[in-house]
Amino acid sequence: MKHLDTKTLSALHDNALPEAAREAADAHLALCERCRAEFAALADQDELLPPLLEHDPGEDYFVGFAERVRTRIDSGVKPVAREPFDPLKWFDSPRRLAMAGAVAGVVVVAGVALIVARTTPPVETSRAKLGQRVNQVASPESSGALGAARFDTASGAPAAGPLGDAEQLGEPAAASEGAASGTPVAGSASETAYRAQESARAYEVRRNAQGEEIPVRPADEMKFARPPAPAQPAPAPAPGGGVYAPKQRQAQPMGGAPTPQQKSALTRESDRTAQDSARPAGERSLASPTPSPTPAPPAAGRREGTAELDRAAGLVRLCGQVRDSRGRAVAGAQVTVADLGIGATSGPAGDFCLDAPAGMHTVSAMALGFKTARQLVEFVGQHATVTLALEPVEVVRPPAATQVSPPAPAATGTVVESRDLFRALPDTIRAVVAEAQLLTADAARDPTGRRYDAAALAWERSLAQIGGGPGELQARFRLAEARYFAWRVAPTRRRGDAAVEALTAYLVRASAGEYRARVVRWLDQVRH
Amino acid sequence: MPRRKTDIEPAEDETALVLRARRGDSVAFGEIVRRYQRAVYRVAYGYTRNTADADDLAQETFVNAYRAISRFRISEPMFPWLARIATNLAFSLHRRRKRRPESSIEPLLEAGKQWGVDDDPARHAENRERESHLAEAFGELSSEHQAVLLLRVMEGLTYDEIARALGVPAGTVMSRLARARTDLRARLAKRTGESK
Repeated sequence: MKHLDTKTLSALHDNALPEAAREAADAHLALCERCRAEFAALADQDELLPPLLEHDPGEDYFVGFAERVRTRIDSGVKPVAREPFDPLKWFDSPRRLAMAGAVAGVVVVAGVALIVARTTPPVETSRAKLGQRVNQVASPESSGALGAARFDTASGAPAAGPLGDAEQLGEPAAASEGAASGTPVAGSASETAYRAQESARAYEVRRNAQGEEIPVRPADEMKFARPPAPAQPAPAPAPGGGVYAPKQRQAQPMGGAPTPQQKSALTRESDRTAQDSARPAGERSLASPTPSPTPAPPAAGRREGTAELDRAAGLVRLCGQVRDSRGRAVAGAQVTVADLGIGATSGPAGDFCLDAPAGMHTVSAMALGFKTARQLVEFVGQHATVTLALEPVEVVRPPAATQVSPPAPAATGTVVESRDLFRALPDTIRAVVAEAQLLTADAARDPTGRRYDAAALAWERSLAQIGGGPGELQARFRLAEARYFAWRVAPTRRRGDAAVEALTAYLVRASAGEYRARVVRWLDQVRH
Repeated sequence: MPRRKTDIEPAEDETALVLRARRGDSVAFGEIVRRYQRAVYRVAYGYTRNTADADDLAQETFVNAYRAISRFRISEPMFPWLARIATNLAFSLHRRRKRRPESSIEPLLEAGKQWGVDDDPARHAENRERESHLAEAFGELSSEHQAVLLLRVMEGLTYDEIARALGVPAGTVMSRLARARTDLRARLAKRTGESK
């Protein structure tokens, strides 16, 4: 039997229950002795209270009561004197104490959130991330024989596609092809071949408002608006006056968690880069054709006040220049102190500055088209200087030879694929291709089936734009490659069918060569 | 339980009195005071349980009522409104007293005056002990529980009237009354057990 609770008994005693509830309670009381006892105790308690709490002051008291009230109203006196405010006693109330605690908690949480928000690096856009990854893939260290070797390992997806390194570097793909196949690197020491290589690397030359020649990479065109139309016809490039396409990269930690001082230096460096990015593309990212004999002011836009703070914090400022083997400034080179994860990007005159704790550190410089240079530098005193010389990347064959000599019929497929035929495409199509390249590089860096699917879709879009024009075979190989690795990383029936279709579409168009042979092997794997 | 407001006359002309008091008619407000002075004093005494504080609280209740008479809604009964003023003043006084506790002798002495005459000395002593425990237990209740018991048991207000007087929903009055009675009984049982 479920007994009546106190609330019901209390309300029943006060005759405050609804009719139905009251009848039910009465019926229960008639049967339940325990509840009857409870109810009786409740009634007894209530009966005892009034005489205990009641007091009759007598009629005399009430005779003059109204008059006393009136006097009190007229006088405005408050007999119930309030005590003076005591801040400590204010917290005697549990409610006030809880309120104060809640306010304090909110303040602490807001403070922590503010601190965390201020120390969190800004979020990059996905395209910026992709571009950054492409640059990392395309760095000279990973684009050589090592990158190609990784491609052929049976452990999984390649670090980069067989063509990707060369394409993204802007190099004739014969370089990576040669490296991949293990063929000896042909000599390119002759000055003529080197100049031809530099000319091939200069992509396209435009003229800015000052009439200066400025090389433009496809990636630059994709990311930034076309510069204003030249005021006068562009003169032919001076012989041997090749300029280097700069690599737009953010400073990347090379390993280990940076110290707060290093983070500070990195943050200021990215501020400087951001300010640099805000300038027009022609001013920001393109190398000056005239090498600056003296270093530019260190890190334009950087506040001297913060530099002083760094020095006060025990950091040594290293300023220097990045130059090529002929002494010309290399703009956009990525200079890093690898063991500390501190980095900077060289300016238009090849100059850079970075702050690091005192001691011996290995400073490396990387730039598009150059081998990575490393130099042990002692950070001592308040300032240190260094000049980093970059050697150009060697190629299998001089581009001029590739252009002049018609490829042998047996190697047609390879040669056609090796050259970056996408450069000949209109800007709008090249932007689509560039996106496909970025997605491919992204998938190669972090291989998942979905990433390769996305890359394949981008290559399909590119193919739709290219049609039967130049670069079709190259795009088909990329599409087949993306479809194959999507299936290899995450095999499904759908991916297998798509891979077979793409690989077959390439094979029916490709001539004999290494890439065709590779596709044949892939197709065989998918089918079996 | 019968209503204890026997000293309050039917409010045929209460609306007129309120309207006159709003215009500053002290005679009309004096009449309102005379109508509710006993009930307000009982509530004041129930909250304070000593004559000095009860007198002060009762007078202050009417002073505050006079100052706030323009905010009184004529359609509603007057006593719950006055009881609310008295309750707020009593709570304020109670908070101050919690920080500065006073002797519990006075309330007991005051209560002793009401213990009346009893022909049987033994029964008188027993009743006196029980009522003493009950008075102490009631004094230990929270202000909210004291108020709801006082308005219900002493003044016989309905749940709706108590709700208006305390500014809480009627459902809250019901549950608060149940908890107040349970708490009072538990405290009384504890004291009775301790004394035995």
